[in-house]
Order: sequence, then structure tokens, then C-alpha cells
Amino acid sequence: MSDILQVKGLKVKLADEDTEILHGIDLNVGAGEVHVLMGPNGAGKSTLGSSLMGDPRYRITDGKVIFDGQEITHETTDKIAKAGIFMSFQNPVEVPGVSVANFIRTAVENKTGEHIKAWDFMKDLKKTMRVLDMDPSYAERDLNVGFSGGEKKKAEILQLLMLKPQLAILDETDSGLDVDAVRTVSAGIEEYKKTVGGALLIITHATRILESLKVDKTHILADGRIIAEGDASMVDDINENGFEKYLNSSKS
Amino acid sequence: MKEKTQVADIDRSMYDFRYSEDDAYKVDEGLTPEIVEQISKEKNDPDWMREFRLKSLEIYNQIPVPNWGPSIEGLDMDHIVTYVRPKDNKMENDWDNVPTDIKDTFEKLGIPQAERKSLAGVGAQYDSELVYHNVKDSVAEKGVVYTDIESALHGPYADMIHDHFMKLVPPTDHKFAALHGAVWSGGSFVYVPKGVHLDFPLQSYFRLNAKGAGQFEHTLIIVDDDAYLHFIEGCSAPKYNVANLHAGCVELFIGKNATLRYSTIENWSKNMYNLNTKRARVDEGGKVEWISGSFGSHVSYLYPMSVLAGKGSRSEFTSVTFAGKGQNLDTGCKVVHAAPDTSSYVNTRSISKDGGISTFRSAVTIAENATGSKSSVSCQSLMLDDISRSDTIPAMDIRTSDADVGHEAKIGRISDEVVFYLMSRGMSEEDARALIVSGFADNVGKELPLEYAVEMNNLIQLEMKGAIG
Amino acid sequence: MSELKLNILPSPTWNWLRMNDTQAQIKSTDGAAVPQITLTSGVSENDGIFPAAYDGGIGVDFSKFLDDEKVGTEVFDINADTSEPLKLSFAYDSDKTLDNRFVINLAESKKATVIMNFAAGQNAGQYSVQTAARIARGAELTVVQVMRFSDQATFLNDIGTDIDNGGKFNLVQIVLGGKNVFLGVKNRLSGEKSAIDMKLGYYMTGDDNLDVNYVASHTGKKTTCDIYANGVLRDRAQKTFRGTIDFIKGCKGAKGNEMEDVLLMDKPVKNKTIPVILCAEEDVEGNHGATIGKLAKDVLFYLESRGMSQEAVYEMMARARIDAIAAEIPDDETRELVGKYLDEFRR
Repeated sequence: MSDILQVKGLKVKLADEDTEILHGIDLNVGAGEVHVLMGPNGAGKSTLGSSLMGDPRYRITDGKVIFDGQEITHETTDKIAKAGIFMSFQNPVEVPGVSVANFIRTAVENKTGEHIKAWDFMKDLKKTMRVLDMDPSYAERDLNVGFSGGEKKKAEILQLLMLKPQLAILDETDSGLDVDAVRTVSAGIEEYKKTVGGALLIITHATRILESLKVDKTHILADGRIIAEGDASMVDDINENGFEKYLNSSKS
Repeated sequence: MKEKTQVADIDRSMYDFRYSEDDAYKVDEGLTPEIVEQISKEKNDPDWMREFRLKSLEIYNQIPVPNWGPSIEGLDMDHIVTYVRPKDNKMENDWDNVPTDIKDTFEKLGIPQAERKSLAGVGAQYDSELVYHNVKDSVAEKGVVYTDIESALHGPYADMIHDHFMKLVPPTDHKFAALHGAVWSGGSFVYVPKGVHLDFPLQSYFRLNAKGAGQFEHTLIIVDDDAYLHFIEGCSAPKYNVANLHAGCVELFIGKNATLRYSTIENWSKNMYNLNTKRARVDEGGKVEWISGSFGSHVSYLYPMSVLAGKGSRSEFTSVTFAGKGQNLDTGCKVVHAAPDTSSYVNTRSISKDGGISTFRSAVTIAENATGSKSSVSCQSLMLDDISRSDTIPAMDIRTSDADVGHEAKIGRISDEVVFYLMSRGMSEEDARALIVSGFADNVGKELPLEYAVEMNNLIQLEMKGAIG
Repeated sequence: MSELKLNILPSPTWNWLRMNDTQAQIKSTDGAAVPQITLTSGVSENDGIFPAAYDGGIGVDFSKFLDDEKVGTEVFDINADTSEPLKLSFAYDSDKTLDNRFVINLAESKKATVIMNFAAGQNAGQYSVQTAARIARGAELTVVQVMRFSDQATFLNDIGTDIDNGGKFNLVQIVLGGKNVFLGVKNRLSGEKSAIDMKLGYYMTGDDNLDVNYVASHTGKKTTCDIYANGVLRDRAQKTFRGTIDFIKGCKGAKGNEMEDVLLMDKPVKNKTIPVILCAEEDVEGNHGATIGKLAKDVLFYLESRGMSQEAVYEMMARARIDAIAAEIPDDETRELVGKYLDEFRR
């Protein structure tokens, strides 16, 4: 299978400081594969996701990011998104004055460059909202404004399903959710696998969300470096025994 | 209701005692080049200063009085005595040598006690001249200079004075800055060398004793890079039935990564025209913190200004103004963001009572080059009756999109429910209202050293006493 | 040509701020514009005299100027609830100086909507409208003004209202461009429990300039005012917003709220704001809030991560602000006019 995402020797620093956070990351994701990125707090997991997306808080000082055969290392965020990467945010920002429906429609039109009829769009949106167990009234609410943690996560998955990217980076999508919400979000991710068939890079330190997914590969990130890689069984191993083993072996 | 102001006036008498000024040396009333020359001669000015004074007088005569703000018609410059030197004046650094009546004045105001307790140094000005100045040895050893400007003009810091004096507040700034330039006398010069951190504050106390006189002290403070200073200023005067004038000038130069906290409790008598100018220039990474309580004066124009000249420099302004009977207090601040990543924070409270007028006036300017700057202004006003007045006039001028400016203003009265709640716990209505007003002014109270916070609270209690008819 | 002081701040402050008023060269009139008027039942239209006691937001200089220029006045007497809005559409189609004065008298307990559309295409004239509104006891008048100008036109829009007991005045003003646009509104809330609600939306680009002076003068008891301005400045556009809530002694129980949001899009824009609360009464509540700044970095990144270019994000956010104000317009056709202008404006 050809790799949809190739990360080669990626080094990342904070935008306005000299602190290096990622010290040379190599990571490949095949088209349609499910990858899990795990690691202790502060390992740099979110930094990796954000810098792939061109977050202005970080700057890439070395290495390359190739997506779908094109180098996107220093592309602007909107171009990266248009190329087909989607990232769900840990803390999605509130956007007063712009409704969920209006926003997603504008984003889809921007991505495809085609005008969508309002009625067709709303039909599609409401259908997708049902999959996520979202009340249709959310379509008219201002994006993320006053949403609970769970509602924000659902709104992120809703955008994922509507934008249909080739690669979805899900950053801690299951953190802080109750069991029902995890189930709904999981259903959304399954729906994405089924209808879009894109690849997933799931950043997490919990594993509930992975239960219903077939994981192809696991990467462990610690202190800005990938210290171990393995198959799906690694997730269970970490679940039972923690990161200790990997952390120690990387030091020796 | 009828008796309340009388009560307040009687209680104010702790500031109201006065001594004879018969033996003092005074210049004639009014303002002429001759009087300015005379002051200059009395003060043994260097030539440049004498010329500076005369030039300032020319500017004074050209600039009109402000066409906004409270009326200053009651101020007749032809009858203000611009220079009053206490008899036998000589600046002392031994308290025992200060003349008895002056010593008594400051003893009553608690100045020497405060010095012994918690200050690194003290200066005391009586009418136009400094009468006492002292700095703790441990502070002097660090190279900290705290003296009067007159001495500094003839000492090793003469060049430093020449390079900074009225450079931040030029005489052309406004009419009373020009007046100050012409007749200034007394005040303080402070220099804190690089990296020196003063753990205890320095204090200056200004007392205007003479009737119908003006006080025009100049305060020049230079805090060098990475240094820290807290400077406290107090002022009071006995009440006369003719106008007195205070047109001081404060210039603060704050070096890289240095911090200066400048605290003022102003309690001039209610016949005072307080037309004071204060300004700070802050270099890269430095910070100015203004803490200001305005309680006295008949009319005030007071807007400390921060010029954020260096990248990442900051300004904080915290103030409370209490305008009682016969007072028109126009106070506030100005901030100029003139460098990138600068920030300003303004938090003010005004209280109006017994026909008093308080106006909060501000201007926040963010220049084209001050990208990444932030400003937050919050002002609250409390109306204690329906014969008083409270205006809020905040201006913002933002000349770059890369800025973040927030502003909020609130005006209202003491809520009946809160008074009722406190009374239901056994408090009198008078006490309940006084307590609420003290709490309202707590933004300043909690920033002051304890003894000053107590003094401020006493002033509030004084103003509130007898307020309930 | 006369130099006039426009939009005079009721309480002057430091002159160096240049916010106390705006001095401008105003041209003598070439006559009145002829608006297309859609009358509705209960409304009668007559020539009349402009009230001498008129007190508008732009100020005395301008009123006196129009008096001297002998600008004619049309009076609308509204004596019934209007089912459809009274509409006046101005399509300024010359570079001349065109001035109009209107009086709107709304009878006791009646409810009416007046919609005024102003458009100037590429014409570079100077246009002005002065409107005196008298709202009788218990009546409610809604005035909607949509101003669509290119970067050529100068427009002066002055309103003065007198509101009797229980009367209400709603105003929606939307400004889409203009070389120099002056808006002045002064409301005399003299009736007990009289109320105003003013909403302003603007989108200024290029070298556009908007200059606003809103005044709510509370003399009546339990009077209320709500002022909300929400706008966007792009390119090198400039805006000055003066908003004054004046609680005059005796207006017991009055409440005033003023809120301003300004989105600054491009570095060279200039924004001046001076929100004033004057208060000579104890039993009142006044609030003011303003947020002025650029789009937050995290919001921009979030929206860009969904594939929108910075330009597209800016456009969407600008539009969201104008749409929010336009949503207040009780007339589909006029709302669509705003939408259409914004659609066509896409760069």
C-alpha cells in the first residue's frame, strides 16, 4: 500500500522561542490505515499533530512532510487542509456569529470549489448529524459557542464526516467524554472509515476509542522522539503495563 | 442630611491645623519675569535653568487654559504666591534639627513614625522647600540617590538632571506644565542604579502651609535597568478660604526590565486647585505601576501618562477618586503604546457624593508600530445621591489591526438589597454604606502598604460619616 | 462650500485626540434627490416645515446649514399601524449635492416601519438626509437604513428623535462602504418609560471613512437605551465611533447599555472609539463594553485547518457580523439587498 503521509526527520521548535520540542520524527501512514500515536504527557504528541497542520505556534526547523506525494512541509494551513488532512482539535475554538451549518457549507464549498444548493446541503448535514446523535438545532447554533466538551467533540467529528479528508488526525478526541459520548464519537469514526475510507492518526493516551477500530500500527512518542513502534497488540500491552518498559529500553 | 458635611469638615481638622507663616520668605503675588528671576536667584540656579524658567514663562503666557474639563475660573494667578521659603530654611537630614512648628506638622501627619517603621528613605517638603531628607545607610550603600533637585543640580548628578528635567513633560505640553517650568521649587531626585532592588519604599510628603500659595515641586526618578523601586507620595494642606494651587510635575524614567511602583494618596484641602502632571517613560521589558487615591482638592486635573517606549513594556494603573461636597475631580490616565508587544491595564473606581463631581477621563493610543499590543480598561462609578455627578469619558485610538483592546465601564448606585442584607446582620445603614464604599475602593486599598491602606480607609470613613439623613 | 463641525461630542475631551468633532468642507445644495416612495395604508405625505426645535446627532452647524440652504421638507404622518413598511429608495445617480429633509410623525399607540435604502453606484456626489422623528405616546417606530456606497460618495445621515411616554424607537443602520459617511443620531427620551434600541453594522474597505455620533439623552423616568455597534475595517479604512449615554437629573430608574465590537482586518486600518456615560442621577444603571482587535490567531488557525484561506475566513467573519445586524431588518427584500451587496463584494 502506498503511503499517504510520510514524515521524515521532522524537527519542530516553538515559533518564538528556541526550545526544540520534536527532535527528528519519522512516521509513515499508508492510505486507509489506522495508526495510533501514544506517549506520556508532554511527549510532543499534540505538537506533532499541530505542526503537520501548520499551526503558527510552532515552526518546522528540519525535515519533510509529504502528503499524497506532494511536499507540504511549509504550506499554509488552508492548503494543507485542502490537500486532504483534517485535524480535530483538543479544544475547538468558539466562533460567535457563524452557525455550524453556514460554516461547514462554506468550508466544503471552499474545498471543492463548487457551489452546493442550500437544501441539498442541509439534507446531507442533518443525516450526518443523526449518525452522531446530534440534535438538528445545533446546525443553526454558533460554531462551538456554549457547547459542552462532548458537543464540541461531536461537532469536530461532524466536520470530519462532511469534509471527507484522506487523512484524519484525531487529537485526544476521547478525553473528557462520558461512555455514551465515546460511543457516539466512535460511531462517527467508523462511519468515516466506511464512507470515506481515509486513513486515521489517532493521538491518545486512553484506549476506549480504539476498541471498535482495527489498528494497523502503534507509535510511541516520548520526549520528542519515536521510541517504539509495533502492531495493535502494543496498545493492549501499554494499557496493562504502561509506558515504563519502552521508556527504559530507549534510554539503555 | 443637613449636618453631614459639617461633621466631615470637623473630622477633617486632623489635616487642617496650620502654623504662622509670618517669618517665612515670600515672593510677591502674581507672575512676572522679575518674580521668576527672583526665584531663580534665591535658588542659586545654574544659567541653563534660569533661562529655562524664563522661556517657560513665555510659553505660559502664550498657551490658553483648557477648553474642556472643570472650570478653573476661581484660580486667579495674579494672587497666587509662587514661592514661599520657610524661615531659617536649610535642608536637614537629622530630624531634631528641623524647626519645631514644621516638625510638629509632620509629627502629626505621622511621617517620622512611618520612616522608622517601614521606609527606606523619606523626604518632606514644607511650602516651597524641602525641610528634611534622609535615606537609610543600607540603601545609600547600594548607590541609591534620594535628594532634592536643587542639591542634585549642583552635585555629581547635575548632567543627569540636565538631560532629563522636563524632557518627558516639556513646558509646551499644557499651560500648567509651562507654569511649573517657570516657578518649580523643591521635590525629589531619585536614582536607582542598575540591578538594585529596594525592598522598602521611599516616601515623599508634601505639605502646603502658606495661605494663597502655590506648590510646584518637581519629582524626577530614574530607575536604571533591572532595578526595582516603590515610591510613595503623600500630600496635604490646611484649608483656607482663598485658592491654593498645586502644579507639580513627576517624571519617571524606567529602564530595561526595571519596575517602578508609584503610589499616591492625595488629600489636599478642599480649596486646592490640583493641576498636576505625571508621566512615565518605560523601556524594553520595563513596567510602571501607578497606584492613586484622590480624595482632596477643590478641582483636580490629574491623568498620569505612561509612554510605553520599549518592546514588551507594561503599564498598570489602579485608582480611586472620591469627590465630595464642593469638589470637581477630573482624573484618569493616558497610555501611549509606542512599541511592539506592549500592554496596559487600567482599573479605576470613582465615587460621587454630596454634590461632588467626578470624571474619569482616559486615552489609550496604540501606534502603527505597536503590533501585538494589548490594552484592558475597566472603570466603575458609584453615585451616592442624586445631587452629585459622575462622568466617564474614555477614548481609544487604535492604529494597527494587530492589537487587542477591551474596555468596560459601569455606573450605578449602592444596591438596596446589599444594604438590606448587611442591615439584617445588625449593621446600621450608615455602617453598611460605608463598608460597601470601602469595598468598592479596594482595588487601590489592596495595592497599598498596610498603613496607607488604613489611612485611605479612614479618609473614606470620614467622607461617609453622617451620610445617612 | 462651508467648513462645518460635524458629529460634536457632547462632553469634550483632549483636543489632540481629534475626537471632539470632525471638521469637514460641506458643499451647497444642488437640490433634493427624488426617492422612489412606496406608501402604505395609514401614511400621508405632504410638504411641510422642518421643526425649529430639532436636535440631531450631527449637530447644530449642519442643521443651520440646511436651514440656510432652504432644503425642502417632506412630512409623513402615520396614523395607523402599517402592515407593510413605508419605503424610500434613493438611487443617487449624479455627482451633484443632493439634500433631503423628512419629518416622520407617528401617532399615539401606532406601530410603523420605515425603510430607507441609499445607493450611489460609482457617483461621487455629496448626499445628505436629515430625519426628524416624533413618536407619540405608546407608539413604536422602526427605522431601517441600508447605505450602499462605492468609495466615491460622501453621505451625511442625521436623525433626531423625540419620544413621548412609553414610546419606542428602533433603528437599524447598515453602512456598506463610502468615501466619507457621517451618521449622527440624537434621541431625546423625554417620555416616561420611553426606549430606544439602536443597531449599527458596517463594513468599510479601501480608503473608506465612517464617522458616527450616537447620543441618548435620558430625561424621562425609567427610560432605556440599548446601543450595539458591530463592524469590520479592512485595508486602510477608518472609523470613529462616539456613543454617549446622558443620564440627566430626574431620569430615575433609567438604564443604558452600549456595546461595541470592531474587527480590524488589515494592519493600516484606524479605529477611534469614545464611549461616554454622563450621569447626574443616582438611580440609574449604565454599562459600556468594547472589544476591538483582530481575529484571534487560534480562531484563524482553526478555520484555516478546515481548508479556508485567510481571505475566505476574513470574508466569512465579516459577513457574519453584518448578517447578525441585517437579521434585525423586518423586510426580506431589504435583507436580501444587503446579502447581494456582500455576495458581489467578494474579492
